[in-house]
Amino acid sequence: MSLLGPIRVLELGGDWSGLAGMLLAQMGAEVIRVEPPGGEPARTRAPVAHGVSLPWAAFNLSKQAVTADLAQPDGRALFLELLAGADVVLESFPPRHLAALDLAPQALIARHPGLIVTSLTAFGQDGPRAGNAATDTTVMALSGLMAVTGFAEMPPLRLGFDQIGSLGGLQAALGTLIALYARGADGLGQHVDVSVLDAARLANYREPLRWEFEQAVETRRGNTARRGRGGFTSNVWRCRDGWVTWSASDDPRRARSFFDAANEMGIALDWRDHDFAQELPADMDQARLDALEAAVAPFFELYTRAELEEMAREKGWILIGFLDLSEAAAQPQLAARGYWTEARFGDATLPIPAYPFKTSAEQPGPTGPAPAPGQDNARVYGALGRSAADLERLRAEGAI
Amino acid sequence: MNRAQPETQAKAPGALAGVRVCDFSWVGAGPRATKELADHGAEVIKIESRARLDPSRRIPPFVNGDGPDNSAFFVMSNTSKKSVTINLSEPRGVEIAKRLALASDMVVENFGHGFLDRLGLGWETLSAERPDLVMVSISIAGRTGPLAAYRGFGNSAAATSGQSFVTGFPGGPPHLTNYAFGDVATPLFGAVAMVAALDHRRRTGKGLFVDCCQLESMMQLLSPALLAEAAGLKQGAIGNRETWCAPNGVFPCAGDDAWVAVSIRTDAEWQAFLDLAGLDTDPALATVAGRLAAPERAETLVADWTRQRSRDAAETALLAAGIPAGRVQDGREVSEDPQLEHRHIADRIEHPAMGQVRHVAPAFRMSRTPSRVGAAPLLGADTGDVLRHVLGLTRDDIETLQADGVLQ
Repeated sequence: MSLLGPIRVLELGGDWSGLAGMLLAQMGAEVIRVEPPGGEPARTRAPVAHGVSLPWAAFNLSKQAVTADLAQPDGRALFLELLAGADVVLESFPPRHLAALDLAPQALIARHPGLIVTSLTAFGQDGPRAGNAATDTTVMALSGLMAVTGFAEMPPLRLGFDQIGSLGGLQAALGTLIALYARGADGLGQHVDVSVLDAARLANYREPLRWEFEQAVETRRGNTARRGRGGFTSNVWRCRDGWVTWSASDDPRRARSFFDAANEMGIALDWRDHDFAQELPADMDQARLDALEAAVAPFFELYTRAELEEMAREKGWILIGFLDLSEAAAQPQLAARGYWTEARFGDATLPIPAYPFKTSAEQPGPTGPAPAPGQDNARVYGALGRSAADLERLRAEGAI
Repeated sequence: MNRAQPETQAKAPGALAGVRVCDFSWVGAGPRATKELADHGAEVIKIESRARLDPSRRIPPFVNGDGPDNSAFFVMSNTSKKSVTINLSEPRGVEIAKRLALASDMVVENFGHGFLDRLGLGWETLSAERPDLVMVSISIAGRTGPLAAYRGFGNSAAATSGQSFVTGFPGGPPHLTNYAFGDVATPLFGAVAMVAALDHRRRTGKGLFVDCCQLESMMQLLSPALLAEAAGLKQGAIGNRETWCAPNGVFPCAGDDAWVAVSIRTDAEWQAFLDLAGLDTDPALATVAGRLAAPERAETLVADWTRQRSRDAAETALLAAGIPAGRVQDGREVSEDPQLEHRHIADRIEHPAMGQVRHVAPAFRMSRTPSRVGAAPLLGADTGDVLRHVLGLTRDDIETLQADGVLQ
């Protein structure tokens, strides 16, 4: 059973819309990628395996694909015919790109009053930065998140892989659904103008407040955090087979229990008689915290992540191991929930997420492979009454 | 607050007008989701307790005092909501909460495993009485499976999803950011699920239970990297680089701790950079494949150029050449960013306890049904109103319950 009704979404433009369109497809919408002849340039992005760009495929699962050159009269005419049967246009062209093709969002809505056009761009449709070129990395820099990500003696750091654009993609899916809900009441569509920078600004839930109320700006603190009046406590520790997260606890019993375990191994003996209720780690100055942390660091190196997690479960410490991507994918929790399904990628079968979230009705919608460029031309355009001969002519002209 | 919309539209009901949400969620991952609904006109009734305060009411900064109504942090995730205080350790409190849940279209919760079930407010109980109820549960690792009872902290999904592992510099430790990305990404999955489930209900008349978690949300965002890993291409931390274009990074500028992020996606953009910097073409770097094969050489050319310029001059020149660039902004610059101001992302509105403070708005503008951001509620401000209008209690009923400590 699919979560969404029979909704048809036309998705256009390369850079930001993939996740938004895929979420709608995963919930049961019919999402058709409308690409220039030959496909989006993003289809060649590395890494490529089995003839498929994996970054492109990962956010284009479960979709269909047609081609149409919107700048050519015949391609444009096909698109306008397709539009008549569409509920949503999801586009991530630069602002005014569609207007220059005489396909401005408001004009499309005027032509089809029930249509929802969701525009997902780096900065929104207007404003001083609206026309600027941008990527996941440059938007993260502007959002303020990058200034506080990374290590003091190193450059500001981005999150691994494109995570910021995905916040915009989620917001675009949300805005589209809210507009669909509103349409359910009165049949009218609208334009939804989504900004990736706005989405990233909402994710930055601390730094603007810090400036506004404390007139302070934070910098890069590596894997440390300040919790009380004292210094910065470390929260990432090297152990025998990797890294774990733990920080000196302000719960005196929990802290004592941890140091007792270390003391038993002959480690951190200088802290054997420390009364953690009298002096909390959060209140220690940096030099004292550094001494405490240096004393206890060898304890972690005696054990693997699994051994430390087992001790933590027994003794109530807050400690968890860092997983690499293969380990993360293999965790039993995901298998138990049926998180993985699989799809074809060229000549290979690879695991993909089976759902964006679980519902009591099994899966929210169907899941399938990413489409090849124009793979659905015959079926989709055929349903508009275009014959095989018509399509052959359009192909020869370069319109599809 | 309407967002730069004409007066006539300011009175238009929000897109979700008529939807009632009984919101038991607290801290970050639940409230950020229901905020999105409230800003678009849903009536979100936040069930709180003076005895078991939403921890985000205790998080600084505080304005005009340091009580539960003075946290500017709390405001961000709770705009446009109503607050009702109910003591859930009182049987009569549980009964009132249940009546509110059953009088709503949707119930949202992010408590520890089994908490609502133990109170008799779980999905099985509520849906038996209201088959068309939607219930959305947000948790760390999901409500089923061996980790169903797992009690993580805000950032634990960063560690268990692999996000921390791939965030950092090659050979260095994983990086645990000082913000909990799972706490901002998961509520967006949650909000998507909420509106989709409401749509489903309107179409089918059927309720639904949604089980949305941080682990799976983070995994979904990492799926390009996970797919490459599954294809046998080991993925690790790559610093500020991209897998598909080079140079991509953060480059030093003249001045103290001044940086500009630059991405060069295409050969044309690389040529534009060479023209800007007055450099000759090196055939080995003329193609994406060539630059990906020797990223440090291309990066050095960019860094040599940025180092001679102020951050803002570098950003301006690169953008003028059509090259994606963004200065690394600090908290002050984000607060004052002209684009974000233009978008009215955090306008000041009047809060009854704090005065004029910023309330963050949605990240999208809707042309016909614009969002309207209302002040975050004072603790329990709407208790009487909601109990009268939703449950039909009388003033006397409410006074008695108050005197008995049921509504604290």
